Amino acid sequence: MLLEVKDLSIEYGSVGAPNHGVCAVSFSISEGEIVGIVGESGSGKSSAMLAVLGLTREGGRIVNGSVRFEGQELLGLTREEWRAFRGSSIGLVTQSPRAALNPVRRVGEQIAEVYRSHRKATKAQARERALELLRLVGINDPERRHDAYPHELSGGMAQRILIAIALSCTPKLLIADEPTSGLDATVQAQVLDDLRRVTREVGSSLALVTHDLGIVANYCDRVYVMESGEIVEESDVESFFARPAHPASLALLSKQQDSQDEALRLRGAPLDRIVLPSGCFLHPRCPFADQASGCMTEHPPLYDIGAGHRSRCHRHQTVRDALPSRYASA
Amino acid sequence: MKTLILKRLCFVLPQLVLVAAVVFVLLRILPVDPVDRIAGQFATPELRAQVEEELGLDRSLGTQLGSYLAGIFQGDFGTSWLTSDPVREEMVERFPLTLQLITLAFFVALAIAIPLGRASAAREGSRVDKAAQSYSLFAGAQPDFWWGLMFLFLFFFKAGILPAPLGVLTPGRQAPDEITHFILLDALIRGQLGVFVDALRHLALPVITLAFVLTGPFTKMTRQSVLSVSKSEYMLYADATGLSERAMKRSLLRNGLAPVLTLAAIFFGFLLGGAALIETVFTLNGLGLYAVQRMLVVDFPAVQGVVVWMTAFALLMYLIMDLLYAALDPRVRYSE
Amino acid sequence: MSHLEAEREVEAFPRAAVGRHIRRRDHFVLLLKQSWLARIGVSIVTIALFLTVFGPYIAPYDLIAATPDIYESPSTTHFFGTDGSGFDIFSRVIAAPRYDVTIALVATILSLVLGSMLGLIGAFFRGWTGELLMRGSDSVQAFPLFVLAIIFVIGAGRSLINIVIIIALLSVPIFLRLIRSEVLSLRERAFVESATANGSSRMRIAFRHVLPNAMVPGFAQASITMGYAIIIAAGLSFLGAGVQPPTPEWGSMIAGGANDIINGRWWISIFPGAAMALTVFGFAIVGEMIQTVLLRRT
Repeated sequence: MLLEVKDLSIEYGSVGAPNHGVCAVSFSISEGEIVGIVGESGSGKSSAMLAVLGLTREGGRIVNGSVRFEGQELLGLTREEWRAFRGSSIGLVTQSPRAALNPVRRVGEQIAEVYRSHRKATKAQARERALELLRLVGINDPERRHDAYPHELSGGMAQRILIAIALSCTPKLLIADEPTSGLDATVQAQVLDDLRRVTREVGSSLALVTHDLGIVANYCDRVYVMESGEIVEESDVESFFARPAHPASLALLSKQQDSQDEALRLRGAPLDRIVLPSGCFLHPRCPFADQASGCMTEHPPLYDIGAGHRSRCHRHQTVRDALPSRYASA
Repeated sequence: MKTLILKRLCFVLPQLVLVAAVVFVLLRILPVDPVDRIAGQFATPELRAQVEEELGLDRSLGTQLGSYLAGIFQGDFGTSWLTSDPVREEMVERFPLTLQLITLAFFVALAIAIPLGRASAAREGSRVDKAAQSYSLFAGAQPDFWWGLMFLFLFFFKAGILPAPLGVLTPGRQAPDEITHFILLDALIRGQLGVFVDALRHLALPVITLAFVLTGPFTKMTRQSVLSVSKSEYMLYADATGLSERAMKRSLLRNGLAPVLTLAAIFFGFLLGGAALIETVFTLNGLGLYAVQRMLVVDFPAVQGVVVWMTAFALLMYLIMDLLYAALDPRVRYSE
Repeated sequence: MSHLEAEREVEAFPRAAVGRHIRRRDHFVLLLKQSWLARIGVSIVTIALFLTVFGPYIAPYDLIAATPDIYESPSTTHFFGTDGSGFDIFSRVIAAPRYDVTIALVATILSLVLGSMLGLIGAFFRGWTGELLMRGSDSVQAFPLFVLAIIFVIGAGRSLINIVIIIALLSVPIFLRLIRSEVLSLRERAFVESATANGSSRMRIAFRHVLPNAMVPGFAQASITMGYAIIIAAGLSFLGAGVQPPTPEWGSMIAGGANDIINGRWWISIFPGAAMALTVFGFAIVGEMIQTVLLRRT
């Protein structure tokens, strides 16, 4: 296993009444694999991925869990060890790429700066590397783009710059958090194709965080579904799309296909997770929730439903049968 | 960059003309009557008419204003009604002192406020942060002229380590021959170290006083700005890419500094006028004191001159700061 | 998931450890309970306002009649000592808010009203009217304002009314900008749009819906401006361009003792100045408190 995350929990806000951003999440990624992490916004997927790098957003803290990378435990690294690790072993591509770039520095310099933070290189060598990376991620006339400022770039272009930064030290794992949100459809496909191509070229694994199941279907080997701060379903892609086994997955699918079928939708928006509901965290919003199955009282474990396909739903059998077969070929 | 400068200059000139016109007209429509003051209340009508003619007040307001503005564009600010000397020369003599005072105060204030603001932002919510914030709130809301007196009491009367508030040099000491009109610079150029130290000692208290008051808003602004940068998406991302400590700190400072500079420029203009108080306390013969003294004796050309001069200088400062800002932040450069 | 905000405000006060949907008044009270700085600020402002109304009546000595004691240092008969004319400084210090605070208060209210009106106009009429207003207020900023105040007060006569007018005028641009930007951002909000759909007239929306909401940050700024107004008023009299002695006023009292202080008679300037410095600080704290409470709303 390249990356192995166990029981990772993250809280936000005050210590007395924390918001449970991520609750005991476990997942793994092996070498060369492309893994999709899907979920609606607010499900905790971005927090979990950021925590792999030992980071949280403002007001957040990692309260529990273990993150192992090539067998080495990461949580507990010192500041300097983290600094050396981030960027060189795991590269990150975030959503809103233009906000992620320093607005007052040239993008080429920003690539070179990251490279020089991890590798001994002269300024000239770092510049060469930056130009090479710009070419690698599919940017025409890299010389000119090298000197551009972030606000002069289109969203797709800025996204490629982030990919170049993330790949600058040929990391073993690339985490791409909603890499195509805010881009139009053609650019989306180009960026994703480039992403897949370059990770293959440098031999990295790729964790693709998204809310778009279409992307998962087209690019990923395996998929984890997150909801309410938990992993609620994990599966290989074929088995997942053949018979998804969790209401959250169904909801994502039906949203994807603009289905008007209310019976498959979750009600309302994600709740604050300051007070966690008893039973299944999702039951207040779930169309399948049912007293008799214990949805309101018993927190479901990850049920193994065969061949590595797992679902955190008491009613996974009903759910698996609920999806009309015409959806099942996304 | 060039277009930015040109554009700004296009704004500066009308603003300057407007300010000159406003102060010119204001002085003449206010109920104070210069002829009364100069000819005396019991002057004969003939004498009054003669004075009026000498001062040019017999002409229409428009004509007066026109010739005044025309004069300014040739660098002629008229002659003082009190001393009959050219106003420009009188200002050139006094302005350098004010400028030295304010500039020194700015450097001292920034030298304290930037590290303090950074330290405060770096430990957000800690005791250090609370203390720094309380201090900046306090210092920003203080009457400088009173603090000047307090410092005088402490450092002159009690401790006796700094000189009496009687000008910029100990009475009897010869000022260096003028080259730049900036006494500190002139003393250095002439190699008169004694004069330099003496002037510095006389400027110490007024500078400290002004700097103290300035540290308030400067600290607040630095803290706010550094905090907003450190919580920005791009700093989080920089952290996620393992950017070196040195590079992170450099970004924090560079990105956080631009708003502080803008604020500094505004305060610089503000302080030019406000220096009158501190100059009065320490009997420093600067432009502020000059304006007050001349207004009290209705020397209109002198007063007008000061207002126009100070405005021009403030606008120049804004321009310089704008350019600095543009150099620090490319977004400004292109959005213009 | 908590989100980053590009702009973060300054907070001199502790974060309230409560939910987000707390009422402003409750938050203000909470702030008082949690922060000693807040308590100091509110106490100072309360005392200053109390003295503005009652100061002259509770002063132990006549304010402008000399006592036989000249240059007496602080004692139990004269808490703050006496000056060269034999005036009792304590009496005059506590009577002074009648002038200083009143001037500042009236000037601040005037400029708040005027600035809000102009700000509203500037926001709703964004053609040349608004442009002219903004350019005008920009130009005012380039003026050496304090010198302008000196010119005005000496030229127009050193009356209270003139002092109030000039201080009010100088503060208008701050309120204009603040209210304008606040109104512009509020205009985008949904409740205004819904009112438009109902066919309310432009001015009615402005007065009924937008202005009341935009005024709240105006009040925070007003408290801060109060402090500055006190400093300007006292500064003017310090230079002899404001309230004239023997009127009990902080600035002229400080000026009266300025020459004594380097001869060691510190009490003549220090007490009025300290009273003034504290008052200004108090108003600054309260302004900051209002801002803190405002920014916590979500």
